[in-house]
Amino acid sequence: MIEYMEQVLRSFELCTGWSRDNSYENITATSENLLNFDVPAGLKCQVSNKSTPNTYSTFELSNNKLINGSLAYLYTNCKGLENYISNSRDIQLQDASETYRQIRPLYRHRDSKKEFEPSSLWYGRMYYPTSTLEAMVAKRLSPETQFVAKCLSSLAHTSVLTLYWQKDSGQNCQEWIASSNEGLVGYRVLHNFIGSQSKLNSSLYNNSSLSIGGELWFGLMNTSPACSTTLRYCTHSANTGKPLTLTLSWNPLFGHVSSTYSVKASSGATISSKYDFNLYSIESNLSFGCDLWRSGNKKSKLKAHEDLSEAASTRNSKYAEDSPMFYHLMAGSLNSQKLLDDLNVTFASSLHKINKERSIIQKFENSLIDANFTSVWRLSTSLRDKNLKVLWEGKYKGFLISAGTELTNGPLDLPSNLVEEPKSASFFRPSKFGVQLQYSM
Amino acid sequence: MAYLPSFILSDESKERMTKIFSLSQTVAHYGWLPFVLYLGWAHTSNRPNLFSLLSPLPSV
Amino acid sequence: MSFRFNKETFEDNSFNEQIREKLTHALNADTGSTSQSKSANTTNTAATDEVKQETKGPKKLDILKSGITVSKVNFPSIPQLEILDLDVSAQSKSLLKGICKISCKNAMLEINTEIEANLLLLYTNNGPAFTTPRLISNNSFSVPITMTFDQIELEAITNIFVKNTSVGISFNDVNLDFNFDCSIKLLQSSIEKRLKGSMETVFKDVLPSVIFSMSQRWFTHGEPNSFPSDDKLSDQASNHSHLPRTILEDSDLEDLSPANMLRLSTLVSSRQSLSLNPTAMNTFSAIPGCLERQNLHRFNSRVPALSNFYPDYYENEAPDLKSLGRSTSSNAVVGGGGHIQQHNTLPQRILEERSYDIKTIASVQSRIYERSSGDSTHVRRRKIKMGGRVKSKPRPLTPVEDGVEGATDVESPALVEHKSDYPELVSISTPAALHSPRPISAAQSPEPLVENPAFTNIPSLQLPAQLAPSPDIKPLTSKLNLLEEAHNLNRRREFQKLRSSLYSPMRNKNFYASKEMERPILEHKGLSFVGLAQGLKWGNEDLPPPYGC
Repeated sequence: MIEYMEQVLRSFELCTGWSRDNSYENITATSENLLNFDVPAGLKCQVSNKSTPNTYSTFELSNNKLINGSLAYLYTNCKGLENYISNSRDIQLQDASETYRQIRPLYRHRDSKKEFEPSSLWYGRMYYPTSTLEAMVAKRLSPETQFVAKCLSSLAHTSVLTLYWQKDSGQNCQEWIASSNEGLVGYRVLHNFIGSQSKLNSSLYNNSSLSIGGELWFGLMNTSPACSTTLRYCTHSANTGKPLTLTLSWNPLFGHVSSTYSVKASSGATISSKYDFNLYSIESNLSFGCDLWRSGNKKSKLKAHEDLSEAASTRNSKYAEDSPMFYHLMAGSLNSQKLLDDLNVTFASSLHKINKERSIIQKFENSLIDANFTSVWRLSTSLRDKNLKVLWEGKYKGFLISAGTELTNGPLDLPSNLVEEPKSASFFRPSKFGVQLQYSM
Repeated sequence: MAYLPSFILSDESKERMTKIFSLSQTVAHYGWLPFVLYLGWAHTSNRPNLFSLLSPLPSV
Repeated sequence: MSFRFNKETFEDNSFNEQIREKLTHALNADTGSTSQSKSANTTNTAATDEVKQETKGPKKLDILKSGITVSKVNFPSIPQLEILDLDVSAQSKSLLKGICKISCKNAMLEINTEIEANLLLLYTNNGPAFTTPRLISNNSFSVPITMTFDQIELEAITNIFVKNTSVGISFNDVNLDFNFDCSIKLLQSSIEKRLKGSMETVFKDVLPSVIFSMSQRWFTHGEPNSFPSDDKLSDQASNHSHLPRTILEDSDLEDLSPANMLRLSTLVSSRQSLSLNPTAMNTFSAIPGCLERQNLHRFNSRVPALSNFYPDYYENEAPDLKSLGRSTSSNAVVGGGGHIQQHNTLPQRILEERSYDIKTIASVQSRIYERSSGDSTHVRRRKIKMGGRVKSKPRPLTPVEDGVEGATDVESPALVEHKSDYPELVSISTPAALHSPRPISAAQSPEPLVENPAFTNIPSLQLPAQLAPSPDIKPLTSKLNLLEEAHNLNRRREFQKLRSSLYSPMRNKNFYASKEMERPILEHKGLSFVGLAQGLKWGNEDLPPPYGC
């Protein structure tokens, strides 16, 4: 379940036209969401409030062995943000839950860069009783740049400051990161290949995107480097319009290769699998994850929520499939309209096919929006870790509830080679269990 | 501060600077939330009362 | 106080396996706790919940991915313990002070474990989730590592202080050398450097503090924190993260005789309270110059008198003198009333059996004279002509009250006989002594706290007179000679002998055979060590001044 403050932050990025998915950090977000989702620990209650259009607050109480609390305030001067944020009663479950990330092809980003206006977001969160402070400032400086400073200030322990400088030109996204924790400095880059027609692609309607990215890290204090490179390919199945994502990551330093395949098999199910392999140690791991969505009664969709779903659809319409497909090829040509007309006549059948394919995809996406999901079961397992994670997320009477447990077969606290033989006979036992309640106005 | 040799900064001024640093950190630590709240209050046109701003609970 | 060096433990190679098990256990118990915190770390970082991380306090990095396995241990030779000096002082603060040399040669140790090669993963996992950027494909990569320590040579001089409540050990002159071989050559030099650097702290801080706290535990009978310093120390130990937990367990101390420990602690408590509790037979004078009642017999037994030099002849008549000094478990107050009065007389039996030594008698008498020289009484010398009538002489000696002087030239037949008897004595005692793991105490005697079967196998080491109570009492004269020599002038030389005889008996196996003349010395001197616990010869050298003989 995405926390309220995180949701505000994402809405801020959306509102200011910043593409979250275009960062290398989130290049494997889909499989991460499906396989490594967080299971809440203990009992956690969050009450959030939009006190003014510019200020948001959250109060949280959690009971994990001892009672903790936190109080968070957020201020942003971004205009129109309130339209993107809905309360827990009206929010779509797929928006409130970390799930399959639909990657938009590159040319879709362009129209979102209009009417930019510098805006910033200030966030602070104080934890009690430790009085640890999380502080964050996010600034959109120009249409292509964003600056984020995160700080964890603690009077008892060392404070950590992390700075992000992000530059996203659409085709390339570069980030420079510096953190005071272990003197970590990093650079990441993501490059989107222009979605041109491929000869191999039987489908004329090209809705796929191919991205490659890499990162370099260096911990100055411990002189330990890290790097990785990842290839991501997102497309839709031609016949059914179901989106699928493939990624291939490689860590050259430690010889780690991992490949993922995620697909939204139907409107109510998402499947992801991941295969890890280490070239040096020949260790491998296979992980599976799936989401099973339950939709409520479609008829019960209240009229009062129509406008909200409309707001959601307007949000989606920012990326709606109304822009011409060869936009990037034809932009700027004087007689483009004439050319378009000529093309329309010449390739009428092809265009018809394109429309058909597009409509299939659109239909699928619309079915997701209209599904009015009320709950989702999420399962994830890993062969090497021998664990099973189960999470249930749902809406109940305006509350967003997520409850989950993690079952492990392996030992909890003993090193692997110290465990005696009978471990194979032992049953799964829960290592973690938690319930999280969220309510927001 | 401790790593600076004493001929650059005397022990006294070092100590003073550490004090100032820790004090400013404390101020920033506890002042951040009020600062965020002040920003929210100052930039809202109708200047809502402080309680509605502070309260995380939804106002009725 | 007695101590036993259980040499048998080292004779077969089973101790190698024992060391391996103990090491593995100790190393893994340590990592077990840290890996617990490590697993807690990962779950915490997985959760975006900041609170848990902050409440957990400072986190510990753990590069180890698995437990540590000690795969090979090989001590081909027996570790040697050599006592260079032993000082039994009567100061109220310390009971015993000693200098030991510990040496161990050509040992081998092999350790296996797995380490995390992706250091950045460790650091990012430990950082707070809020400020730590997410790294893609930053998976753990564990590398097995094997470390072999070859040719371990250890030579250390240790000072041992046994105090009222604890044992303190300081390592003075530590020579530790080993060949280090690591399966990851890249890390070899740095690991070796760190190891050698940390060895210093091990010997300077860790080992002494571990031994100290452990000894505190068994001196106080496991009473938890009966001493404030214990608290402080354990606090200190917990503050120092590099200090390991106490590795030695109670099971390691099973070999200690409980009776001894009980006695020690009674001793300690009586000293602390200054109570002259007679239940502890062997409490000695806490205040210099004062003689406690229950120690009177010891004083008496050291007053120069002829009767004191033939204690075995009194044994038949009054066995309670023995039990007075030697009984360990009996709490009964044995007054030994009949023997409190000492008579400067020779027992009848000696004269009958002609086992006396004229030299001894002479020295005793001269010492009596020296002690009473302040009275300025003149010695009357009685000259006895030695001739063919030697045989007739002893009989009138029976009530010898005055000094007996002269007759130094007499070649006592008993002495000759006795010398010829030596080989026989040796043949009796050697085999058992060779197998005795603790030559010192074993040489001594009729200890009732015998639990070790090996210990009971040494009957020949008991006083020779008891071995052969019949007329063959000649070996006693060797004791006599000894006592006679126990003057200050000779003491140093004896110490030299003692030292060389204590010097690692396992090194020269033919020790008893080659130095049989010194065996009694060892025996006698050993008494003074054992006397710590047994009380028979307690404080031989350190009696309060007025009573020194």
